Amino acid sequence: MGRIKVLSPEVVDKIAAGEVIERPASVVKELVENSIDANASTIRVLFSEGGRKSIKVIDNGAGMDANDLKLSIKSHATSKINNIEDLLQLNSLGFRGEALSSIVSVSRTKIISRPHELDKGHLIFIEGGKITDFQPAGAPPGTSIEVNDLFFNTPARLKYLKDKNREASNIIWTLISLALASPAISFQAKHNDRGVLQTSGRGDILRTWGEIYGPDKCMDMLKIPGVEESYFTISGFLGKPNLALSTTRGVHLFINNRPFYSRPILNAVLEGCREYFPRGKFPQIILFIKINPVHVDVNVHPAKREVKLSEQEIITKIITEASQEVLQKEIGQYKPAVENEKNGFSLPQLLREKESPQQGKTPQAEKQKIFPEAPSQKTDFLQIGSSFIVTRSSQGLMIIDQHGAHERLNYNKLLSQLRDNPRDTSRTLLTPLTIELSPAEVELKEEIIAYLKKLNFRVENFGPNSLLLRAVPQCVNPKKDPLPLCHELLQQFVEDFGKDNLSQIEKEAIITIACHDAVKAGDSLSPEEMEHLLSALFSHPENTTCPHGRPIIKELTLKELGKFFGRQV
Amino acid sequence: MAKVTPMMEQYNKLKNEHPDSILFFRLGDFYEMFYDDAQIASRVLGITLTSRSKSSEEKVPMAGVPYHAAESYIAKLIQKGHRVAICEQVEDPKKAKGIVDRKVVRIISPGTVMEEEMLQSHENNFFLTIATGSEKWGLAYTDISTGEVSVTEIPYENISTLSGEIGRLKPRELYASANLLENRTFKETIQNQDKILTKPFENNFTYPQARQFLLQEFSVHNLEGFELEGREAAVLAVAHLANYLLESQRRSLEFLINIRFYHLENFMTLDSHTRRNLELNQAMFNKSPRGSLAAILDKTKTAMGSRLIKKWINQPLLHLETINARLDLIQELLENDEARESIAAILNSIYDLERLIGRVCYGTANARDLSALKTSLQSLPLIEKKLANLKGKEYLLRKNVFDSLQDIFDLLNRALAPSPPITLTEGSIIKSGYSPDLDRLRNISVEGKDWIANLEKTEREKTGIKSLKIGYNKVFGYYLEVTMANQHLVPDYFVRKQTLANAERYFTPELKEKENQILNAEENINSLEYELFVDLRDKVKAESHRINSQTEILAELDTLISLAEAAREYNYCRPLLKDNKVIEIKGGRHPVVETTVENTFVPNDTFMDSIKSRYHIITGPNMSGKSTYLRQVALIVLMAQIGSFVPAEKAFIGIVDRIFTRVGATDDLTRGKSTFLVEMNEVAQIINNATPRSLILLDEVGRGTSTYDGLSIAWAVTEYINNPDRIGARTLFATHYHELTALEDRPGIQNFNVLVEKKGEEVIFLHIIAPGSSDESYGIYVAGLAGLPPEILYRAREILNSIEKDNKEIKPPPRKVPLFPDDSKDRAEKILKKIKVVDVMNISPLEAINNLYEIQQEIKKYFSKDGKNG
Repeated sequence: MGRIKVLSPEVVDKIAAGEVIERPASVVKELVENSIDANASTIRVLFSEGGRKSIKVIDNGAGMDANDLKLSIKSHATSKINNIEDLLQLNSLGFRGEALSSIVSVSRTKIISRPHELDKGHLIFIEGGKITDFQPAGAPPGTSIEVNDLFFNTPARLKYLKDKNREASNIIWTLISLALASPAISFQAKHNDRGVLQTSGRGDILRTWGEIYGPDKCMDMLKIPGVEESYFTISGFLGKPNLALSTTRGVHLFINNRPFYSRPILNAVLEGCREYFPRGKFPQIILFIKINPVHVDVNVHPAKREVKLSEQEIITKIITEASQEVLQKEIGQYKPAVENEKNGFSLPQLLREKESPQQGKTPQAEKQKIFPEAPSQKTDFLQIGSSFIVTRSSQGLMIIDQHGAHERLNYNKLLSQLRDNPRDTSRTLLTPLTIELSPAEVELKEEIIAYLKKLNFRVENFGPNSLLLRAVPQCVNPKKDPLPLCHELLQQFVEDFGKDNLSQIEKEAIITIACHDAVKAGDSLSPEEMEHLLSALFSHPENTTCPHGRPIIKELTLKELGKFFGRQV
Repeated sequence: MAKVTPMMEQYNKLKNEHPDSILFFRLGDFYEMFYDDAQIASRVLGITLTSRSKSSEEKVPMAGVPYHAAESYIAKLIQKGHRVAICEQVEDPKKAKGIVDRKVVRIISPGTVMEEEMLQSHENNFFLTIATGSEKWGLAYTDISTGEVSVTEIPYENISTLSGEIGRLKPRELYASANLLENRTFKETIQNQDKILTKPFENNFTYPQARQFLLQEFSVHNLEGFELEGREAAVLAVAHLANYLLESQRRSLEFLINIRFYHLENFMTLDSHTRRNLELNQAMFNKSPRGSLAAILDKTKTAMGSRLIKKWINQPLLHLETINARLDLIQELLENDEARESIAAILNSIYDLERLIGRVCYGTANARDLSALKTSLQSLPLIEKKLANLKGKEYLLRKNVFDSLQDIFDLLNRALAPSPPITLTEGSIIKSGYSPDLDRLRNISVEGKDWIANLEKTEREKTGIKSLKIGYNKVFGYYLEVTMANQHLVPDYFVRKQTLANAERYFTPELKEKENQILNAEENINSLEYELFVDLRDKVKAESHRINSQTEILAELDTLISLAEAAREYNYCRPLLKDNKVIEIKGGRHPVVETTVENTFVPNDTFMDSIKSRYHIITGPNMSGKSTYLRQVALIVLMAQIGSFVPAEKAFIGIVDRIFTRVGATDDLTRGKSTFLVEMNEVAQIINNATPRSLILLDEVGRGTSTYDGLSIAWAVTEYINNPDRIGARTLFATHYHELTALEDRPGIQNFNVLVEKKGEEVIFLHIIAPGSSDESYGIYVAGLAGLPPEILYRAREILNSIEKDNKEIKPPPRKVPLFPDDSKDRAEKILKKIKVVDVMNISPLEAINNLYEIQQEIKKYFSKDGKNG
């Protein structure tokens, strides 16, 4: 026997740490909550390498004297509650007394703190849970905690961390929630010395939101009329549909100024907005619920992320109604949701670089993986606005962008032509045409002649700043004047010249040719032309986007139509 | 004398006219230099030194640079402080009889640079002229790349003000009378500045001549418009400046867009020591702009804003209303995030309009410049819209109404092709539709070529030669090509041009005519485009004043937004300024240092008034933050008086008219002066110039001499400055003489010290300034930190202990004589003695004048009406 031992405090800490401290963002959350509880008016968060290398949280809060500082890093030591009754009256964000001890057990941490009323501050170094230095120090009033080398002694945990950009992104989202929850505190955050967040802490929630998402968007945030019940109040702002996001990240919920997550409440909001937001688009909302602490159980989740409310049903109902009311008042009677790609709201500037830009592709195009089934019978085609062709599909209704579709077909043809018959696919012009060159093009005359030759254009020198166009590729529309196309190709070439990517340039040239030659939006088509186009299109199921990445087909299934009209189909 | 070629004769003649410049003598595609110029050029530019020895036995040293690459070479020479005279061939070599006529078209000198490559976009490049009037100096300075000219006058007594202005402007060149440049005192004054190229006046104007000259040059009836009427010294300065520019730039002075008189009494006086010690523009230890106040506050988006904010930083204001107007605007911009961010975004797209217009007026603007101007003007209506909502717009528009200049934008938009080239003689500058003549010519060219292209088809039909081809070749032009096999089908009107192996090339009379038409048209197109461009540029030049007034507004807007952004990022507060003598700061921080130590900067409070807490004696160890504290107080005052928010929780600032600093111990051994002498000079300067409204920082006075001497001097200086009947200025005095703390019993003097925490042998600096005196210097401890071995430290402590035991407390002798005896009799005797010993027979006139000047100064100082300092 004797196989069972009580774990040493350090090990206990490390295990417990795993629950609370998952990643740099958790560290930031815990430290910032401590600063908020210390009544700081300014909190600065400086982190590097996504927080994996170092995280510094500096506040001008109450600070700790020598004793408090030493105790603070011990488990279950906290200034925030004394007994279980305090939990019921909880007004602060932190209470378990675990966070700091967990953090210092899995990192190399330096804390400098000085209470306002004292002249002297103290400095403590902790490495993997052990105090390695403790002495007085000069310091500004407040506390600064620097957490370096997170998880240096728990390699397993370290492996689970994502790359620095992902971790940084998490930290920033964490800070956004905290900053919104405390509009009276000025937050400043920097990643690798680059500013990522700045709020002025003037106490105005909408202004704070604007400082994060862009002040010009504030006017599209609608004030939710406050609801006051005996034991709770609800207030906040809801963004108009033109601010919609394609994820729920813009939904910020707060209970008693603590950011939190609750599936039921989130659903309540979405429910209230359903009619006004298109499918796949979610609202921006800042919602504050102030509720008597006895009705809230925060001890549900280790990271205090989820809370349970005792009167959930009533609250969710009120939230749904309030959001609906706000939108209705603003937008008036129900209007069909407009999928406005141009006003598509994007993430806060800070995070935009983190999301990898996809060249020309939009979420919609990616979603369409399967080609809608071709019409089984001969059907009528309808041209709308001289730009779109509407026809029946097996599942319902199909709308085709004529220009995009034709462009795609041209492009495919050109590519295969170039692949199969690299030479002799040009058509000689009856009369050669002159191309006037700009000075920049004159500089590159030799290169241009070679480049155009590759694309099956034949040109010759025809003057100090002119070329003579003798032949164009087969696929170029013989009825159209090829000169505008040539000029566009030349311009593209000059712009991209020297960028080292000849194949890319050629590819773009082919796209340009394909585009130039296709029917445009606004060209009327005869039924025969439409049929010809569509049958060519449907014979190749992979044709779902134009070469620029834009979708060319939109299908509306009967089921979707049914849902739209509130009918079961 | 050996025979000299006509060309060398021409060269020598020109060179004699420009002895102090390197003459770039245009020879074909090169600029050549000869004799000494060649030696210098070869050395500085690293080019080969060759020689020319055509018709004489002597070898003439020669070096040259290619014409089209000349600019970078000129830039290097300018950078090394040389002047370059550009001499061009002014007639067509083909038409010249004998040697080609040559003329110097421009003299480029470090202070008169127009070219972008030789300028720093965010800094001005000043040329300074100093003229001596009957009782004042006149200062006129210009940056010809922006066309600004500023003038002021300084009374003779205020030589430190003169040196302060020179320090502020950091001119590359100084133009003044030979007398002044030779004057010993003046030479000393400018010795401390970075290298300045000096030049004595070429023509010496009298006042009436100067005035007449200006009336003529600027075509005005009187000088009221420039506020120069009746200002003798100022007029002299401007006249000399204008004269020099006429001579060197060889064109009319239209490029001087703005002439403004400014009053030095409107600005806080800062001498060059203070600018350097407070690190306003450069860090002290490496002279880099990083680590300066300007680097912290400059978040401007345009080059003009960047130059303006540096001017503001170096000229803090004294006028409450203006300061508050700036603060109001900054506050508004801080609170209105949307306006601030959107205007900043628009400003980002605006080019350096000041220098663009400068080039337009100078005559060197090219199509790209006008294109940049066009782009910048496009954004103006957006700014107008944003401005309309700002309450502070009245202050911004106090001098000029906002004019969105859309008529100029329209003109440029109609006239300029998108992305024009840099060269002006190869066309593609003007848009079609702007000039009917140009369009017509272009049509001829295009239609002509189309006709030629079509000719292939027509001639094929006419001759029946199916394989006939039209072509073009650089040497022969357009041709019709017929293979050998078809030669028999060639008609008579085909004229043979070129024979190839298997074909013949022909032209027809029609073809030739068309070809000529096209060539003609294209030549004319190029020259017409050039003319049209010049005309366009002139039209813009005519509007230069209008554009210039708007750039002033934009630069100010940019500067104010920059200050708002700095306030936001660094958490500054709005200072409250009053016309009293209080300085009260809560939680003050050093704006530059706090950014380098991140979170560990300890804030401090300060309270000074003119009654009980006027003179602060600060003791404590070195490296404990005393110097930083001193500087931060001065910087907070300075920033407040710029109209900026300040790094503190609260700040109440009573207007300070001058800031003096005596900081640091720079040995001037190279100039034959010891640390102590330099220190005493600086203290003397402070004593002579401080007023009750000044702020004085003294960091260690009395070093560099024996302890007792130093202490006594520091003591006496303290009493003197603290005395309201003498100076009574607010002073921070950091010292290692803690004997001085005994002075606290005097009214106005307070002791402060830097708090430390002792931990056994170790001393920890808390960086907090608290009332009270420190008991030790901790000098030995700091020596240990610096690395002195323990053996020395231990022995030093032993010695210190024994000295302290033996020494009684130093008590100042009680005053037996009245506080400030009337020493005028002594003084008078001293002066008489001075005159008596002058060796009249053996001094130069210059020295005599210097002596006389000094005596005059002394008399003025000690025998003014009430014996007090000015």
